[in-house]
Amino acid sequence: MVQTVQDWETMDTSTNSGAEAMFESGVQAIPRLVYRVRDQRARIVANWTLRVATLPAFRATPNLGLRDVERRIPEVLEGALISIATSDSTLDPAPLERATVLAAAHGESRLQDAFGAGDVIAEFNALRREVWSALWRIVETEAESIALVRELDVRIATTFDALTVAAADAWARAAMGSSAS
Amino acid sequence: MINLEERMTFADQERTMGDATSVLIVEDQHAIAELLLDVLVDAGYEASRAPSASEAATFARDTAPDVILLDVMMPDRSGWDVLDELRAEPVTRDIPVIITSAVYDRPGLHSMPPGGPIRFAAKPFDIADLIETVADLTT
Repeated sequence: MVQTVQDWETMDTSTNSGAEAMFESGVQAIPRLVYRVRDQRARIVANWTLRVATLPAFRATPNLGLRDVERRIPEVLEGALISIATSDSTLDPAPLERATVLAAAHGESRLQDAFGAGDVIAEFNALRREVWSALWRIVETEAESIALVRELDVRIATTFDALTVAAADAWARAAMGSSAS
Repeated sequence: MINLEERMTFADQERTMGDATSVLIVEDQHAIAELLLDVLVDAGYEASRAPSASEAATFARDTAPDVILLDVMMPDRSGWDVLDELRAEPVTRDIPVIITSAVYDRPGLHSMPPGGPIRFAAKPFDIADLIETVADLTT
C-alpha cells in the first residue's frame, strides 16, 4: 500500500489534528514518526549550520551570513522529510522529484559561493547525519519505534543519496556552463 | 534564516519577561554568531556579540554579561588570551564562560586562570545542549 504525504504546508499543524486525520491507519506509523522528526527541523538546521561551519570552505569565508550559509537547506530538509515519509518513491515519485529539484538549486547556488563539489557533498552528508540524530532522539527511548528504524534506514538512504547526486550534478553542470562562457 | 515563526523551545524552562539573562558571544564566524544570537533571543535571553576578539574583554567589562560564549580559534586573537584577560579583571573574573572550539583542546594543555566556572562545548555541539548549559550556569 502506497502511503502518500501531502505537502506539509497544507496540513493543519496547529493542533496536530490535520496530521492525525492523515495518519489515521496503522500503516501510518512511519509518516507519524517522520512528522515528529519534522518537529525538530529548527534544531536540525541549527545543528547542521554548526556542523558545516567547521568545514574548511566555510571557515575560509567567515563573513558569510547565516542566510548565505543555509541557502536552500531548510527547504531541502522539508522536501527530504516528505520524501522519506512517502512509502515507495517508485510508485509515487513526486515527493522525491520535488526534493531533488530543491537539492539541485542548492548545489548550483554553491558555485556562486565559490564552494567545490566536495563541499556540496559534505553539506548533504551533514544534513543526513542531523536527520538521523533527530530520529535517534525520538526512538532511543521508545521500544515500539525502534522497529521502524530499519525501514527508515532504507528511505533515508534512498532520499539522501538522490539529493546528494542531484546537488553535485547541478553544481557540475553550472561549473561547466560557467567555464564554457 | 531560522524560521522564527516556529517557536524553538530549546530551553526546558520558559523564561519570563524581566528575567532575561545576558549572554555575550565572542565568535569570528558571522553565521555562527547570527545563529547563536537568534537561538538565545528566542530562548528568552538577551544576547550580544563582541565587535571583535581583541575588543571582547573590554566589551565584557562594559556590558557585564551573565555568561560568555567564547570561541577559541579566532584569527585576530586566541580565545585563551581573551579568557586570560577576562580573568585578570575583577569585573569579569567570575563571569561563567563556555568555551567553544572546533578543535578538541584538552584542558590540561592550557592552565585555567582562577575565576568563575568554565564549560566546554566542542563544535559541532548540539544547540539544545548549549542552551541547557547556559541555563545551568545561570540558575
